[in-house]
Amino acid sequence: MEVRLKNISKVYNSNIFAVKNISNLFESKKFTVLLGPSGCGKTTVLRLIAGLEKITEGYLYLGDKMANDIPPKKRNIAMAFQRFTMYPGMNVYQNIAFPLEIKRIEKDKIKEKIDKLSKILKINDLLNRIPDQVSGGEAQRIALARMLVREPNICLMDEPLSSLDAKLRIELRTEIKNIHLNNPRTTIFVTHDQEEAMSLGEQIVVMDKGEIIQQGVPDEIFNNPKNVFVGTFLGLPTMNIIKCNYDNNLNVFNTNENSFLLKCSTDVNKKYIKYIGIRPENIKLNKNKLDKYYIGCKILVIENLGNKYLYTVEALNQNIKVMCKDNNNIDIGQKCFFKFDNKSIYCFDNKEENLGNGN
Amino acid sequence: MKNKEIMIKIVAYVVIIIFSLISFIPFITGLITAFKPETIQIHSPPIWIFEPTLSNYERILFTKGNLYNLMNSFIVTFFNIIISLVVGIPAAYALARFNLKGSGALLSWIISLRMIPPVVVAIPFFSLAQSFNLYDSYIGLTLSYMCFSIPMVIWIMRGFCVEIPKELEESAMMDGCSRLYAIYKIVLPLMIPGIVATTLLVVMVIWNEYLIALILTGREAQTLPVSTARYITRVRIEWGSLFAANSLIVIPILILAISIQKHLVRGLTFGTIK
Repeated sequence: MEVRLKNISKVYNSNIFAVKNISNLFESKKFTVLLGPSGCGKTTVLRLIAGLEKITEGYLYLGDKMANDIPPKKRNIAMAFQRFTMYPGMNVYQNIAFPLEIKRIEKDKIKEKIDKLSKILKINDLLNRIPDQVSGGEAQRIALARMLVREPNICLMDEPLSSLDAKLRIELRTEIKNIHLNNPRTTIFVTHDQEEAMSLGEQIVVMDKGEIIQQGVPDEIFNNPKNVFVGTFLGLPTMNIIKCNYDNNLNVFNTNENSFLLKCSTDVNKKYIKYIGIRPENIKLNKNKLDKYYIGCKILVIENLGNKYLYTVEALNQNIKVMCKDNNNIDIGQKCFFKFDNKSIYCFDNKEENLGNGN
Repeated sequence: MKNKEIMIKIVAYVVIIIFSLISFIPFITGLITAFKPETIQIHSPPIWIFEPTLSNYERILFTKGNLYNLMNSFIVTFFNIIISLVVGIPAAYALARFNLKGSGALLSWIISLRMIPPVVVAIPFFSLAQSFNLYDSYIGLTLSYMCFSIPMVIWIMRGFCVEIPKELEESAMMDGCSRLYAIYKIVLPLMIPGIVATTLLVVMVIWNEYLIALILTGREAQTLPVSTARYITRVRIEWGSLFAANSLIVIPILILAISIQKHLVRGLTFGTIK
């Protein structure tokens, strides 16, 4: 079932906009990730779809039905919350069975469904335990089971993995993806973790300050960010942003005190460029100035990440992050040179909007 | 290190025992006096070995009519706590859950009601009760008590409601429950320790209340604390009757507290164990 938002706003206390006039289509059977920083309104969108919050303005369609006034229990939407919400006083089995018991489904059928699902989610040993006896990861698996057992039209997940440790998070992420691939249903997953978004999402919707900034498939969002915000939000370490102006006469870019040469594609009008964005992995670092496009820098910090090195260098009056596969015998404090990979440069105008890739 | 820990424990126990004795001795002495025959009640030095008698109880219950006062106390306390819980719990839930306009002011107003000394409102209550023909009636007394007990229930229960994760009932609502059913099925069971603790606290206040009962009741609706005070007269103090009636006041509360002890400990420590 598809979910369509049409000019939806949510206002708290008559003047605080949690969500500002957003329209979007969450396609049927697709896994869509709502990505954005804390407080950007992504959870509010989820709660509006769930019916846990009243829509101030606009329309919500579930399938082709206008759903603004349908109470949550009649929407056939399942939701997993950030905090583990196991019902106290019931064991794991009763917790998973709860939504089916409300629907008055026969006991045998409930058992059959839970047995099948608990094997998939590897919780079949936990069914007789009480909430106090399960760990965080197990509790979230149970929450997933409770969500999936009723075969809802739409699944909503509100940062379900954020309170788990890194290893468990990656493990469960794979399982969520696997479950979705085997049995696709419309899923909206909220997260502030860009890695989670990239790995899980078939579609990503990036939000900021209550508005949708950009949406598309993960590659598109990553490779063609609409503005500086999206560019810096996706990718770790974050994209370097260099504020500069183009000098037409000398054909160089000027920052406050420095200037540098840059190869740029012809279809970007250089005079509009106010910010240059470059990801750390797209910068080459060398001890020597191999050609005129190399820019001088001083190494401040070297971080060994195991399979690669992250350098923080001082150049153009700011700190720039550079990621290299090997350490090239470079030491802290040394003077070096770096060069932007001209195929991976992003050019932004004075409104921080993307002018197109600089290649 | 270990010796020091043992020392601390010993000191702690000694202090606890001393304080328990200090608070228990008057009660125990009173209880013993209630079983003493009249002749030795105020003997000096006190006589500790005697043949216990139930004559004091027999007198106050059947001759002096304290059985009726006990019943009055039961009736007033029972209806008061039921109505207070029925009105107070939903109010507490709403104040904890919904972002209502002016709920902060409302809460301050509710807590300010708790701060009013009963003596300030006793006379206005009396004249109100007179004009509504509610003087010396269960309804008049129950209504007056509710002015104190409902704010108390709201204030305490709100604290418990805030502690219950909102996601639990939202989760239940997503799973197909209406809000009311979610509250009944998920939230209410979690509230039980809170309700038990609140009940005991409110019952204690109402059951022991003296001043308003003194002013608002005559013969018909008089509660046990008021009638007990009658044993202290200008001429003499009827020690035996006084202590017997006294134990009648204490024992029901004691029984209630012991019978709900399991829930009570959980209720009073709710929120600290998470």
